[in-house]
Amino acid sequence: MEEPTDLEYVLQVRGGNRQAFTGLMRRHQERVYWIARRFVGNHADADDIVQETFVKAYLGLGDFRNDAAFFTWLYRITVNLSLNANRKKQVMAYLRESDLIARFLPGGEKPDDRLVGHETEKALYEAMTTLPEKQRSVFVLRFFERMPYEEISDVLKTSVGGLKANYHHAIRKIREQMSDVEPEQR
Amino acid sequence: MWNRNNDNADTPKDVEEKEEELRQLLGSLTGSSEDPSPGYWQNLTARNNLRVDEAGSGRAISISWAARVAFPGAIAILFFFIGLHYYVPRQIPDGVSVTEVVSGFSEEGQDSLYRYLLGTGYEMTENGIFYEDLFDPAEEGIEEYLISSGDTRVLLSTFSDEQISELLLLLRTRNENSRL
Repeated sequence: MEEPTDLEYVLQVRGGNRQAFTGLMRRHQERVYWIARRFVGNHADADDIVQETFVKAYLGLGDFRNDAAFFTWLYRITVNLSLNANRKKQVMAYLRESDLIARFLPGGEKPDDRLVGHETEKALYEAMTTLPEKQRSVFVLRFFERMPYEEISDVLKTSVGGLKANYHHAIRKIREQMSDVEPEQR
Repeated sequence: MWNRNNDNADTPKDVEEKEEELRQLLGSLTGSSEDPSPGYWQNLTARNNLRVDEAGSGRAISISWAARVAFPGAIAILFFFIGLHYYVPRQIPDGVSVTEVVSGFSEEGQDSLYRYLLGTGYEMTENGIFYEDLFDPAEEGIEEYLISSGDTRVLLSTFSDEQISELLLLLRTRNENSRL
């Protein structure tokens, strides 16, 4: 039997078939995870964002317009949650630097201590964190997810021309910052 | 859906080259120690389902909440207004000040009241007891209390997206100013 389309699943969920939402989750959770992971740079935060994304999607399914693609709507939620998680991290980082917080927080913990693994991956993540939000968003969706600009435009609600410019800036900056990094073997 | 369209036709050559270089550089990244195990995805579906069910049941709870809390609450408010309607406040005779009332106390009573008020920062006036700072604690006091009372992450989680963005902007500006 052919798998229902996203829209068929959505209509089933709206019709009261809660199980149909599991179908949507199974179909999209991996990609949602990796989008979030590229934004936040660690597994634990990405895992939280995946769950939060689906809860938001489920509760907001009434707001979803049938003429839009479900995945662009879903990925928009993911991107927004990821950006927000990063903003919180940045606030934490700033607060850690301030004297007031230093008095209260246990020492030694740095914002990116949870980022583990490969040096190249760390360098990439560090380079990505220097990008403005829009450039980082388009970089994740284009470079890692290989999404066409038209779809990214739906997700980020930005013009294709603007996206291309942002992507070009992002690529240039990242390549520049990683100019000293040599490919490593695992 | 994910096939790359030929939509990079107008991509400048150098960007294409840099993109390719970057892909080659990252080509060795086939996985990291933190990458999810194959079982993770199955488990993730189950956990997502649980979270969605919990969140979805919030609606059901809100209906029972209406029955268990809102309805009795409305009755209580109704009774309060009925009570208020029939309430006749005890008249305080005109011309009696706090000083007069206090002067009616025994000497020991007056002394202990005075000592207590001095110790707590209250001020006794003709019109009553006055304490200026009761609802106006110092800003640093609030900040320190909120931070020392728990994890800053918890504190941040109570902020809205807009508040987080505003705070970030503020901190960035402050950071830049302090560098100048």
